[in-house]
Amino acid sequence: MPPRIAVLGLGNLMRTDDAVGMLALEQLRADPRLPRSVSLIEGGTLGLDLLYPLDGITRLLAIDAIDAGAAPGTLLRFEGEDIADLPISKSVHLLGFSDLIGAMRLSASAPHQIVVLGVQPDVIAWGTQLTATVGAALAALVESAIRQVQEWSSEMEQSQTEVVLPLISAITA
Amino acid sequence: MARVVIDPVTRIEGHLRIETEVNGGRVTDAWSSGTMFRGIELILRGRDPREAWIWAQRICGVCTTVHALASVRAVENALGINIPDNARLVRNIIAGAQNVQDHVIHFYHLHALDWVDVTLALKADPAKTSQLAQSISEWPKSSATYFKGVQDRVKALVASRQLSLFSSGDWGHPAYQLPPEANLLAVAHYIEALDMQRDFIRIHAVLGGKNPHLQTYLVGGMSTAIDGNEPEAVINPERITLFNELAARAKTFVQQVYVPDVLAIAGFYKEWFGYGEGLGNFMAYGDFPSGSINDPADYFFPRGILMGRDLSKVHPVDPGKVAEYVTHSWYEYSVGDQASRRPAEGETNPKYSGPKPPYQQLDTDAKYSWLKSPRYDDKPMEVGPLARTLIAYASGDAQVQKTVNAVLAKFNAPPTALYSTLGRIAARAIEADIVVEKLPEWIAQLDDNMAHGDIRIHNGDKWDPESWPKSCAGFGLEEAPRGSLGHWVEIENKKIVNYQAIVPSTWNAGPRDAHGQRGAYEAALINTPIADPERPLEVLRTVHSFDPCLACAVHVVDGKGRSYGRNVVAVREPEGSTSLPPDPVAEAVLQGGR
Repeated sequence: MPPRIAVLGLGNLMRTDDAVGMLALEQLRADPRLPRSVSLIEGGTLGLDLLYPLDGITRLLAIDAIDAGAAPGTLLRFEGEDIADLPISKSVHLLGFSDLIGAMRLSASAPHQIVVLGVQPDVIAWGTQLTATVGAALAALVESAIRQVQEWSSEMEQSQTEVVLPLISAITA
Repeated sequence: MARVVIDPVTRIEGHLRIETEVNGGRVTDAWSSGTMFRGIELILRGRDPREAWIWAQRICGVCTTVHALASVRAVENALGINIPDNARLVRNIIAGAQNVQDHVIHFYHLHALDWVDVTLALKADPAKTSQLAQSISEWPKSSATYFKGVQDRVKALVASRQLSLFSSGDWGHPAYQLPPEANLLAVAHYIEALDMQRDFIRIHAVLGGKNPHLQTYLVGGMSTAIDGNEPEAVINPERITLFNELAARAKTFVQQVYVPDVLAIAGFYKEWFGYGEGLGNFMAYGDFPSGSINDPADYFFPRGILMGRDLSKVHPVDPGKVAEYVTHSWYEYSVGDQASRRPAEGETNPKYSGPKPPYQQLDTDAKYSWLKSPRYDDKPMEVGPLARTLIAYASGDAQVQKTVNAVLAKFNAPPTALYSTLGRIAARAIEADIVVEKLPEWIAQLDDNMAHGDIRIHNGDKWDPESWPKSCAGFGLEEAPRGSLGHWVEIENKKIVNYQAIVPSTWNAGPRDAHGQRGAYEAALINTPIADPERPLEVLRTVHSFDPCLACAVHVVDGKGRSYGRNVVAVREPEGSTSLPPDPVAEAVLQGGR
């Protein structure tokens, strides 16, 4: 299966700071630095419905509001073992993000690498605008996301070059 | 006496709190509270009725398409629009696919873990599991090697501490009765069902443009292009082949995996044919028109009402007899809160008067839910697959009678055994089986129409609002997977002036009414045995058997390791010495309800 990178935006647009992941995804879409091979997926508040769009993704960057008890607006990053410490879901739909990943692991279709990027929310009551604190962190969140996918993308290009170049030299030799 | 509270009830969609009173190891009373305000009715006021469905289907991210269908039907009813046959067929295929997919997901992903202990699956002998699988079904994925592989993947998940979707189970609870091999079999099928539902629902992605929240409805029909000679048309011969393939695969799964699993698991829990009985009144609006929506007698799912567990008489349904109470709901009526209001004249005036979270207990003598209490002719009704199956059975539907009798014979049980927790589970499987058999028929009719050059899929006669009367009203009824769904709309000067939705889970999960009559969940929980009040798994079994669906809201990942997935937040003795952890859901609700 060819390697594929995706960014998954999560959150409820009507829940104030919970929307931060979705809003970051919107900004990524408009960012010229985003590598063309990266898929952007609007996850919203979906759970298992995301199995289909995530099928075949090998590196996944999820962006969401993350309640880590930090100061509102703090940028947070989880990777590898740390993701295990994220509980099943604060969302009371049981089938949240970590359930989705669990389901993909069980059916042996999980991405090889998963990074969760997020911002500590301040308010998650009804509201369609980020609070000032979290709004101020949005740019940094987008920058981190861009850096992450650029890093993955160049790693992948490199590994492809490593495969392709010897092939080309073999053919041209 | 102990008050056992479950909040939130997990493995459902939405926000539900159950309070039960437990005496001598049994539930003696129960209260069901929807802790989330929906409010779509207020959003729809003043909008163009032709776009109502786009908003209405956002009531839920799981049932998605069902509210779109009820909404277009309501507006078509108000404006007197008949839809072309192809639109009827496409809608039937979409709703039928939703029914089957929803039932499979409910059984495996929302309900099975009440009966299946995942930790015991790790102790199973794969060879014996293979023998068990082959004894109940032809399903080819049944070798010892296959089950060993599944077991290894579950082991790896447990070892990585990422138990995730299996982490909220009450593992080791004495009420789990399956042998290890049956647990492993069920876990394997849990995983296979993930693939099945993902594959099958491509029908929605094709016919709806996307899934969830299909985008191809129109007042007057569908916007799905149909043309046998047009390779770019959404419905063409190539797509018909795809639909048939998807339906055939789903049928094999339902008949070789889902139904045999339900029967096998039920065999270990026969006593649950004796619990969870409930109201004994059942209602179905009926659905899947064979011709006009105005001919309910020709519906594939019959319309009717059963009263007091009497299968000998199917009563007719008069939608004018549906009314809602808010006596115990956080709303107020201009006519006073003791009265009921018909949805056509319905009001949605939210007024939260519950305790400020975190709270230990709701004042159930006062208002205690965001759900209203719908009643038919002043009587509470259970809706859903069990109601539909019983009504079809009592109406003399030969296919339903044959299937139901075969299931009952297997357990040597009378039809009255169906009034139970297991009865609901069995009825859902029976229904999925019947609908998945029917899908190819609708697909074939669509193909046939197309072959004969009938490609009409939208009736635009009354698309122009200038053609509408100054004021009109209508309703759209439907059988969603979880039960009878109704939308009521009132249109004046081309705009919506009132909109009301009464959803299946309001019928089933609603609170008491002005007469103190319990809702369906509340009634069904009475007499449920409770082995361990700290872990009231038995309550979850009965509540989950209804497939609760309450509209969704907050989604935040918690990075501190706090577990909100835990089912029981309080087991409270009347003295009330136990302190409660903060309840973020209730907090969110309080903020939302202001």
